[in-house]
Amino acid sequence: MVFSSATFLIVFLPLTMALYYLLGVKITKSMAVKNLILLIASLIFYAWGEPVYIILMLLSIFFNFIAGKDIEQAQRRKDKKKAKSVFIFAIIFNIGVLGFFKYANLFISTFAGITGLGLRPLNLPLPVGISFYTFQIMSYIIDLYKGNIKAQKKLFVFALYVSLFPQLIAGPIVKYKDISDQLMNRKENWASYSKGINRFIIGLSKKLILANTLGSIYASVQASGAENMSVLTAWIGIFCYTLQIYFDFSGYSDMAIGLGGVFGFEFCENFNYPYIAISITDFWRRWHMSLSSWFRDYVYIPLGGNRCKVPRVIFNLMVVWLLTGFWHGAAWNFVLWGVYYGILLILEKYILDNLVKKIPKILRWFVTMVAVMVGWVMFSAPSIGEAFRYIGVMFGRSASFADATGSFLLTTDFALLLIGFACALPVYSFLTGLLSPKKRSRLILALTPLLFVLCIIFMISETYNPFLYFRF
Amino acid sequence: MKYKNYLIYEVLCVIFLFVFIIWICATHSGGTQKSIEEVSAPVLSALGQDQMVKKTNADAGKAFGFDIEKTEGIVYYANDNVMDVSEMLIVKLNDSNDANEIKEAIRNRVTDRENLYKNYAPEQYALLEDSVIKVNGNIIFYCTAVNSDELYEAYKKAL
Repeated sequence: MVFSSATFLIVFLPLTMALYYLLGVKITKSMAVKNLILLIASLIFYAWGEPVYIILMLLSIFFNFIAGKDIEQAQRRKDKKKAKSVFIFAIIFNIGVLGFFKYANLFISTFAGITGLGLRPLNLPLPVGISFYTFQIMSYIIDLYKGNIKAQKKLFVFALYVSLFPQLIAGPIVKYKDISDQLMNRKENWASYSKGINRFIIGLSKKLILANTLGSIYASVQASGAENMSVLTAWIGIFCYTLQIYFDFSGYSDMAIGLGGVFGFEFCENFNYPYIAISITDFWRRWHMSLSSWFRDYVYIPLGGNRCKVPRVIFNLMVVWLLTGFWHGAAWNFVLWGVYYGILLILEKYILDNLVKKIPKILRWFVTMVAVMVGWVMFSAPSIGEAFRYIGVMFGRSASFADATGSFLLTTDFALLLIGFACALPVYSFLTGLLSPKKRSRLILALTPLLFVLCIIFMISETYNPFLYFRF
Repeated sequence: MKYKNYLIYEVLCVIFLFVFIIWICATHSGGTQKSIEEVSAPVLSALGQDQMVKKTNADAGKAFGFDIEKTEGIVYYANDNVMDVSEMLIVKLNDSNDANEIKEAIRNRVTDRENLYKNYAPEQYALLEDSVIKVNGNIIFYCTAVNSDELYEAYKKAL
């Protein structure tokens, strides 16, 4: 089930909210009842898409819950060896599950390609959200082993942490240490509820109005093939994708954070206007922040971070970015995308740092945006070869600079591109910041229902509703 | 505090995981190496030419709301009569990781049409309720028809 579907908006969400507030908040006033309602709703939400994979998720929950208890028991008994062996066992279990279900196909087909053996890929359907919930579980196991948190005593609370439906499918990746208190002790109030609803509608409109519309333009550009494209068409296409992926993913994060607020949770932010970044480092401080902080805390810092000699820091960075690429998808173009950012960050850190500081900010922003767009070509292309062909066209390897398609797209969709671009920048928050708090809340009160109606219209009329991060 | 041996539960989980993997590989994996024409031929024979008419890939993309660029091939048949919900779709994907997205798009279409026909065409609603949506690795079968089970059997044999 996705947040932007009629089933979710018309049936699932109102029913869950009604049960939660009536039974959990009003009648029983019990945290256990509230958690149980959310857990059942989350399991139904997950099972809706691919019912068989709920077995895998429950197995993963049970294993890690037990492993957590085992680690804590060993630590209490000062048995470091045992704690370490259970910790390694749990990490191998989690990486093994993720590796098998997400990457088996890639490795089998690559191995078959290299060796010439007639191996057939497994072609198993990908368990939805496996990358997100496995990373959440690993944050629990690692922090527990490091002694940063205590083991969760109740299985169903731990199950709720892993399966909580607002952030189950596409994050943000919520670390256990950030949410453990809220799982046992949270207070719903009108302010967080209304703020949550407002945030959810903003996210929904980013997805349904902007991401889907921009996505259909990029799909039509991509369908024409790089060999028939002009330079102008290629840039318009990738500009649309650049905006689409931002609105798609940040929209989903907004919806998740908003829904969390509705049920009294406070999730971490995942985006902070990444397209105003003036360097690649800055961009990654603003894009998918929960994933970046996960890799920083659990991979980069344990490897030594930047408190080592330069070659070792370069190695650490490359490991992190190779893994970041791999995390995004089981295809070599994602690995290339990760390596591309690793190289750019190393260049920025060690070679271009002094030079970059002398360049005007606007130029730094422009160069960053071009680099990010080139990255999105690698990310969105069906293969590495196709990505390089597209990049070639962007930088002049085309028969023409502008063609009829490019001119048509530019004239018919110019307003949309402009609106999309403005919405990706902090224009709205700047303008509303000029208003007094009272006027601002009035404006939000007037705009939110309007946006919701628009979303419903788009949901009914538009059939193009892909969700880019569904496959991660 | 009393010592508890958790190892047994952990090992049991691993055993269950292996059983689950073997079961899922036996029932859900594989997809097909055959072309979409080879898979759809026996289904189309069972379909009967007067039952539905052939539609284009673009029609399928528009009707179901998925990105046709993600597909290697599409076979889509539907009834032109708006009072008949019968349709049959076979999609072969470039990447089986996209199967969830396409399946969700198909499911959304079925739900939308169920809402549409529920109150004024109960027999069509019943057909939609009995729709078959199956994913086999890189290939997806969807059918709403009086003989959907027969068509699904033909499809399974063709894989």
